[in-house]
Amino acid sequence: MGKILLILRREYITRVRKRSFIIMTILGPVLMASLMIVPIWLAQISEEDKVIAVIDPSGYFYQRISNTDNLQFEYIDQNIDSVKAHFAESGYYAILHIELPDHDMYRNFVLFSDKQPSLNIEMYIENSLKKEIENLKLARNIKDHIKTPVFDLQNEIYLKLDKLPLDNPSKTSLMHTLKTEVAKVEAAVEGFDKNILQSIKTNVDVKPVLLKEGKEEKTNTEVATGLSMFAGIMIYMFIFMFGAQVMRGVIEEKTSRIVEVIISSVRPFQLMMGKIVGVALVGLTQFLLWIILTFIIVTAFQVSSPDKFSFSKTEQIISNPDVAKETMADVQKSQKVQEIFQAIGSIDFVLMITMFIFYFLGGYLLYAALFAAIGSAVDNEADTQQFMMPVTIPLILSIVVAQFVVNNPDGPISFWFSIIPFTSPVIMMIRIPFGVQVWELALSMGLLILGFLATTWFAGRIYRTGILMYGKKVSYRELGKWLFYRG
Amino acid sequence: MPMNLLVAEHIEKRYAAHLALDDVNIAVKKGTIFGLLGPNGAGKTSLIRIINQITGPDKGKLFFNGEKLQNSHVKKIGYLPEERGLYKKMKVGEQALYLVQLKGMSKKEAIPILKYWFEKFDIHTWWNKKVEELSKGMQQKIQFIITVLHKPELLIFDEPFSGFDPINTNLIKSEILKLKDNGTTIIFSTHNMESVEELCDEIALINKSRVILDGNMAEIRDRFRTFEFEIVSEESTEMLKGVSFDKMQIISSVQKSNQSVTRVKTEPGTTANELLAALLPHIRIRSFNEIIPRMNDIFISLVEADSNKLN
Repeated sequence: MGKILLILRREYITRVRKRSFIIMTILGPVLMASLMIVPIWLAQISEEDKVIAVIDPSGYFYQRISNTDNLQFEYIDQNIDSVKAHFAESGYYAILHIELPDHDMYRNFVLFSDKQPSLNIEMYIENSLKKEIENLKLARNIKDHIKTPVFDLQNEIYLKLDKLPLDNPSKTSLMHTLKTEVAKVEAAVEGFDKNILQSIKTNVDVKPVLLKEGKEEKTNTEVATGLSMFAGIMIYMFIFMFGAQVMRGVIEEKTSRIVEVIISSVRPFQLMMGKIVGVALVGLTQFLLWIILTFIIVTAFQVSSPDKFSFSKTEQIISNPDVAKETMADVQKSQKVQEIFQAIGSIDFVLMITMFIFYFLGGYLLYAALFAAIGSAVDNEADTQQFMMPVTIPLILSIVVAQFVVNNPDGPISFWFSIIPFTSPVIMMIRIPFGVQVWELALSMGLLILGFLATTWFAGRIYRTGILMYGKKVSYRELGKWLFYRG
Repeated sequence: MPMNLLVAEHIEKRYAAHLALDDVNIAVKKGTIFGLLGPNGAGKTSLIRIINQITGPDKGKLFFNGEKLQNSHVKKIGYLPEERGLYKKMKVGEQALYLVQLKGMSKKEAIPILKYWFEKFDIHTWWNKKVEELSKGMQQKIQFIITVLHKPELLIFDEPFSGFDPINTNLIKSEILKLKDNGTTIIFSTHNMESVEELCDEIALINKSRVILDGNMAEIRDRFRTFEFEIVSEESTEMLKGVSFDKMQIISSVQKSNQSVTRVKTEPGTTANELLAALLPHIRIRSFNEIIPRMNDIFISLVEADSNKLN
């Protein structure tokens, strides 16, 4: 045991001291923190307000394109050519020219600017115009559908009235009544304007609520998906990164020929386990440092600019009627943001992190033993390819399957892949944010422990023979024989 | 107290279809240098690995100082393998301490001894250098120090001189002899028969997984005596031909300006005195010596004979 500790300590210290470890440890949290901070920062950054001049000779679009936080539309009644001529000194970001309708419909829109307008702005304008034109068409269609039948009906009634044996004054009076009623219908149809269309518009947002032990919990599928994919990919990366480190370490010892000196002092199994556990601790150290540093960076940003990163801001807006000058859309947006924060709050981070550590360690131990066996069987890294394939396939497969799992976290594929030890570390991590039954989790964890014990036994037998074999191309048949050599 | 530090009895080791060691018996006396000889692939490394408990024998028993060989003996054995190396990126001092700790010595005990060796070899400036900054010869020195650092009772050197220049070879040779004088037992495996003659007290020759010759060096050389003598005399070779000694037969004779060098073979059992007595009345002898068979020749003739027998 003391010797394993010595080996473990050397593996740990030499790796933690490496420049690459230190760089990764610093770079990781910076990247993660920027993933969290930059979008918020970008959203909050006060972009300079852009004013776009709208020239609409028809006047139909007046005040119909709504302003955004940093985009304003100014409707000007001037000749397009003169505005274009004075564009440089006008201060406008762009000029939107809506040409007069061609065959009763607006078809030509031109956006003049001196630099390439951003895709966002272009899309925003396109969407706004599209919406307005669709409304216009809809209104016209409704009118057509109502007007024509009404006129046909009117004519029919006229004809029938004519044939009726009635005196002229009665006919005239009836005709008059009819005309007034038709005129009323027409007026109603004409009045079918954008206000009505606007009121029809609806945003639908289904809020999933989990029933857990009688308590209701608000969740958010998007948040769960993002988190689970993140966790799954992290596990995949960690297993690959640190598994490969074990393999390279074994190859290094073998090619530098120090291995024979060492195993005259310790058992090959002790050397292998010392290395595997030492590297695992390096991985854990890195993971914990990442979490702590990310937390520190994010907190530092929150403290330095609380207005931008305060999560309670949205609640303020909703609860305070004075601030609620915002339009309905803004309030909805705020609600959505608030939901996301609520959903993040509802995630059991303690469970997530514990499970992450468990599945990282379990998956790592399972694969690292195999990686160590591969390293022991070859003379240099180039020869590892033929043995790497079968070991990495289940790992890669689990990343491929991950998408199906996210779409259907309780389906049979998800279930089986999260139970089988070779894929469970990635797939179970993906399932956990969606909620997993306790027995499934227990079964998966138990099998993973059995799995790594099995691969470690298996790898140990290959390892002890492999490290002493030099200059020999090893086949699978050969590896099979090694399993049954006596110690 | 047993006389033998290490005894191996009826050792057999099999790798799949290949029998690496077949009923091998050796006994290494305390305080001696034991030469383990044999051509490549004979099974020397397999035997050394078994003694080091790197692998176990399929059959047979090993005794260390009278006790059954076990894990606690690891720290009493020092091993310098033929295929040897160090961690390239690790610092010399740190690495030596790590490896000696693996042998079971504490860091506190090891530091003064390590410093002593570094002073002795005049390499104390290397302590904080990375191994990759050192030349191959320098690395070999470090490996030698690491092997003997924990003061093992039994040292096993597998081709210790490969990679050393003649000066360092002599340095290591004299250190090995000093270790022997201090009571350390040494197993020495090599192809270099000159150094075997120089250092070894006893040998075992392994060929094709079996010990085909073992025993005391002097006795073995005696056993393989050919009773050949070399005589350098002032007279021409013609004079020697006139000597009438029927147990003697001239093999070759070379005339060199004012002296002749003649090789003669005598009948087994003839002593140098007898030959001298016969020669003295006829010639003036400048030098006279028996041609004792060199280990190299014994090695080659035995291995070839053994291989022919098996084929």
